[in-house]
Amino acid sequence: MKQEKTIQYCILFSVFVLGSCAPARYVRPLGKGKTEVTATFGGPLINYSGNTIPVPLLGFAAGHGFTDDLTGFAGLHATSLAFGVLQVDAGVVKRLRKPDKWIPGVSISPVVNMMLDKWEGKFSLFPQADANAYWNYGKKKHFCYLGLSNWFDLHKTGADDEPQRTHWLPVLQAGNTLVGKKWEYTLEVKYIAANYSNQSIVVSYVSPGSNGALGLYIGVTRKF
Amino acid sequence: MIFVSCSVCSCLRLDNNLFNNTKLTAYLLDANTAPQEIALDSSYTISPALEHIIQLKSNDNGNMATIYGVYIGDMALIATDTVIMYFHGTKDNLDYYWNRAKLLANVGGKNRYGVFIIDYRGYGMSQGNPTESGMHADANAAIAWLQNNGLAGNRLVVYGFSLGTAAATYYTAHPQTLIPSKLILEAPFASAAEMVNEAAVLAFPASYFTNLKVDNSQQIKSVQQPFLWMHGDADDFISISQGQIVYNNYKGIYGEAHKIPGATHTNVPYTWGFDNYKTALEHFIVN
Repeated sequence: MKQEKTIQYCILFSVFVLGSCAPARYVRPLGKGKTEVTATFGGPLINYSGNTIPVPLLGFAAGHGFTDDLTGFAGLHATSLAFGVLQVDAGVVKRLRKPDKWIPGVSISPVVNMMLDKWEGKFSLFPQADANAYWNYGKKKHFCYLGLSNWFDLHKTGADDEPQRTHWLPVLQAGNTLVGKKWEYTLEVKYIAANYSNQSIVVSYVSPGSNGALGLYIGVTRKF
Repeated sequence: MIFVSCSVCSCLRLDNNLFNNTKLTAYLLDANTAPQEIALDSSYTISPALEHIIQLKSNDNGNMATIYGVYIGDMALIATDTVIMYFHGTKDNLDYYWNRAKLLANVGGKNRYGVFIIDYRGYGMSQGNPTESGMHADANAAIAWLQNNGLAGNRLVVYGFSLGTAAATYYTAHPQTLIPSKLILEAPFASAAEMVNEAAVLAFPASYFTNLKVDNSQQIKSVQQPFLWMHGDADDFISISQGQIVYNNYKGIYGEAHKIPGATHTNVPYTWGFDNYKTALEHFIVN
């Protein structure tokens, strides 16, 4: 039975490749004129050969501060390329309020995820909307954050012209970024697809319950 | 370097995951003590004299392979018998599905119908590696073998389970030799695209993950013969909704649907009850 499920859950696994490749791009704006480049690594946690490891997904992103409150960014998912799928994302992060001691800063981030495959030239677009609360700490203004990322599927129909049943995929995220003069280091945990069951799955996802999967990501950022 | 490697490779596909084959150097059949798809008691025993291991040649666009199968019945009577051509699922090889073949050999009474089960290339003792086109070529070769042994299309019933529904439906829609008289599908998937959509939750195109073109939901539109569909409503591998898509797309002369309450992907006959299962098949075949 486990073998027969392989195809189904390899696909589900691949969804995580395409849908959860990276940590939150930018939780707080960079500041006017600032530019950063980030490499990210990690993914959903799985039990593999007795060990718990994150799926090794690789991505890159760059961001630039247009104003103190608005940063634009774009990203490329290297792992998707291995599937012959060019997957990019582009968006902005807009600060709604600055953090003040225990009162978090708040940002929102509309994003567009776009994919194009080399096999049949099929293009897909999935809007995304994130909201994050973040707290600065320390002299260097390290920050930690908590947020919700939402993928939306606007297709009316899916395969075989059947009605598309799912239009919202939520991801809870929490992370911490250590800020240096030239480098930043991020560690983030996600709870992916908490509204979907992970029972009877041949790939053993780590999750707090019977739904979704936890993800672990690291990011290394170079500031310019 | 990783970036360049990913870009240059861009070759990950899930196609091979459709086939969970296990190769063999010999078939055990009744001597198989490993767990099988279903368990049968001794009342389903078939006389060894009626179990024939068959070799045949299959040509997949120049890619030749020797395919193995087992014919259950009197081979001298293929010219007059009704034969059930059984295309098995994705797992292991025909040893795993041997009891399913014996169950079919007891439909309508012991050895009422001949039963022919093959291993697709890459499965069991069959040469080669499994591919979608190879599976279809092997299905053609199996039915051609039946034709060469005297079977006529009006006595051919094609039965597919799970992966085998692709071979069964495709052959029935595009018969190369014999034109089947009837089609039976147990737990069919709708298409590679539907499998991706269902498992992926979001409407990702199938081409992002696979180059497979298996599409029962479209192929069934070309089937006019009587069609029986059975599916467990608790199927947690291929949901019954996929089978419903296939059934809804059938526009032939007679359709019969059996949705088995509580049955999962692999235990439709058991959950339904072997007697109910056999009676339904017998009724469908003779009427």
